[in-house]
Amino acid sequence: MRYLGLLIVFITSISYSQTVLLLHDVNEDKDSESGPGKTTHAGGSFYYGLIAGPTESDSVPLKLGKSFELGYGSYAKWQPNKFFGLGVENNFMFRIYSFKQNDEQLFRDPSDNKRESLWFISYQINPFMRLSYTLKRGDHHGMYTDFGMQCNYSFINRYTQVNKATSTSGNTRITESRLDYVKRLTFEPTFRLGIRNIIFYAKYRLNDIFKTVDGYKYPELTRFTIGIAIMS
Amino acid sequence: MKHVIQSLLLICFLSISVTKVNSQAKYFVIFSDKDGVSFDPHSYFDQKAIDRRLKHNYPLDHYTDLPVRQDYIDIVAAHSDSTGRSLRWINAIVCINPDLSALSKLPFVKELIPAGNYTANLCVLDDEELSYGKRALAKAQLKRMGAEYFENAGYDGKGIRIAIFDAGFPGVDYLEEFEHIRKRNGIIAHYDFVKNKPYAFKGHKHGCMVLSNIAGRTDDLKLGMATGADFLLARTENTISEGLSDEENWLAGLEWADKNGADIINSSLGYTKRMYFRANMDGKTALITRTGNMAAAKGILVVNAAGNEGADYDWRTIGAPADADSVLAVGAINPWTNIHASWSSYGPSSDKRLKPNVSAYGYTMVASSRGIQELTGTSFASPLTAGFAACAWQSDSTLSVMELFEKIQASSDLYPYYDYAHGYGVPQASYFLKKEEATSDSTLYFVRENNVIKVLIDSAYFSEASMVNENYFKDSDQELINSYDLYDKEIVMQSEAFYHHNDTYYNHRSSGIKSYKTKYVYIAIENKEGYLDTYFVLGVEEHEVFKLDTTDMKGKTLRAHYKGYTKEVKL
Repeated sequence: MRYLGLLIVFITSISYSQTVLLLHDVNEDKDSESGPGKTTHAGGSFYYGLIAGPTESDSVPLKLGKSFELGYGSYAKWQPNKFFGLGVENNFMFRIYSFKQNDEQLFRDPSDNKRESLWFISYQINPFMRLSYTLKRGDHHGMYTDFGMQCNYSFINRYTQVNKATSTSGNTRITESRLDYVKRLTFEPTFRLGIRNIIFYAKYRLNDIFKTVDGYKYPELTRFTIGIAIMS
Repeated sequence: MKHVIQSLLLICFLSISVTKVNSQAKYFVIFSDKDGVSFDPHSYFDQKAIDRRLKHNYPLDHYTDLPVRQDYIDIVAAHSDSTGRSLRWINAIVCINPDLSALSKLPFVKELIPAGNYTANLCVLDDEELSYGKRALAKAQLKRMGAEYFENAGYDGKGIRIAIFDAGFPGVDYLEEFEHIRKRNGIIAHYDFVKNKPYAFKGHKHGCMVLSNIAGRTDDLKLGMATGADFLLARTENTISEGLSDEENWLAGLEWADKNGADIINSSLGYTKRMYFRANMDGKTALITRTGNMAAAKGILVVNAAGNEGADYDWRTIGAPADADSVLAVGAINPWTNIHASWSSYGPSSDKRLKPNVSAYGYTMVASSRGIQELTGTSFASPLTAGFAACAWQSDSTLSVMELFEKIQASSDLYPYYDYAHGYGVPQASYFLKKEEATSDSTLYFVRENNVIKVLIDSAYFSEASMVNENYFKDSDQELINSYDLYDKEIVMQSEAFYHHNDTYYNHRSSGIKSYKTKYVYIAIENKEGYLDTYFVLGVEEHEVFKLDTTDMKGKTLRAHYKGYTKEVKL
């Protein structure tokens, strides 16, 4: 604020009657105290991940590629030295599980549907530890690995089922929200490998998505997610 | 499942790749002494290098030229996975995966500096081929520096040896634009420091383009001034970062250029935020900056591009080694507006020294395997200046490096006015050929009224005719000028566009825009510490161009420049 005040005083003391073609206030050129290669840094992140990994024995088969997550958020990092840092990340994440419709279909409706999906919008908080490898690093991320624990709270969830048209009716869509058989809080250890602003990540969900309701145990979904992210 | 396996394989591959790179920790191990080492300079140096040293009264067997002690190298090698080049100037050996704790205990190890993993920024922006107007711009890029004065006096850089550090020189061995150099065996040596091979006619064509702005020519068109100079071509940069190269190659190239008798080095490269912080641009931190100053002491003028980070608000300033005190940093101006090109890096250095030192066109015609094309960047302002320096040195070979450095600054069209966008302006060949000191008419004056000081244009210089800018395209082919839409057509220069550092060049290219032909007045306010607080360029439209309330400005200096005349007043 002190500098802003000085700038205002300075600029108001100058009058131009001509066209200003170039203006450079040298004192405004300040090295930012934060940056990707500095002790503190804050930035944004964008995630795209694929639900992947082996299907559990009693799991519902998923349409890989159509089961994915998209996230956007921000993060802050404190890195006291070149090698070690701590950070925390806040994201809003959209995640969708699309189910295959085949003979093994077990979820909710044993009939062969046209389309069936379960999706979540969740808030995530992800404390992480960063190990940096680039010895000589200017003001950029360098190469690093992050180890973190992602806590997801899904505040919107929805199940959608589209049944195939019959001879007497068209497609029918059933949508169910506020699902009482879905756990809102899940935890996922994450591993990230970063090269400058590009991150490859993998995470594994520790707890189940579904609750046991009225003695019925829902089949569990694939726990692995792998993806790519961009961090500013 | 197939997608999953593929994705996992990709992650594994990337992890292994990164781990492999990261497992290679590379260091410069700098030694404390060279006791007991000797060498024969006559067998080590090229005769041209010996002549240069004698001319500049620099010893042939200076401490920095002695080889690194072999016993030290052997001991470091025993504590490392492998060793690389030894570097005489900084008395160092490069080693991979050293045992740092063991090395730091050795009494002769003075410093351990991690080597960077990133290659430099090539200071080039656009790659846009034009179908017309090439000749007009090619002529203007030399005419703007008064090249015809050197040409008429017969100065073409003959006898000057110029080393170019760049990313490769494909085409120099066969393109027509360099035939005159090849015919007289003007390429003295070339070396690829990336591959460690004596063959540099490959890699990125950037170096070829840079050379063309020093010495390229066709039968009827010159692209650079120093067509008679000799050349040393060093490929020091790999445009595809393989890691662990960068500065080491530049340092090795410097010793190689010195050994082979270089008088001038052009380096259109800059090391910025990939390896350093803005605060490191202080003229003493980066190894290449330190050695850039050493080169000047050994009689070599290093000309370096200021950088293209002017519009990058994370950096905005010059890159190493342009921050070195004795390195001539060259900024870029826009040919169509004649002021700073918005993307050209601004000064000053982080310790507030003047950078860039001078400017030249940053939009130039260059030659490469794609023909003659227009490119953008301080990469090309730098070789134009290096070619200029070669001719200037040829015109007075008694000059020391720093005398030449200062004369190039003094020859520039804004001198003694300076700012951190243009330096002292564009060097002018006429300065080196004048027998008498030139004097300028007073074109502006100051008027004090209480606490207000006004800058006014002298009425004799406020007529429409006197305010029209020089047209450096006017002697070019009229037909081409018309087709190129360069000057007679309309160029807009709105204050907003410049204030926000947009580039009027693009405005120029759009249709239906308005001309701006009047002269500019340059105004700077220098503080008590001797560096500028702020500076402006104003388009002169009225008699009274500027007024300043001096109430809180005691001790500062107001400096103004108009049409070759600079006036200053203490506030």
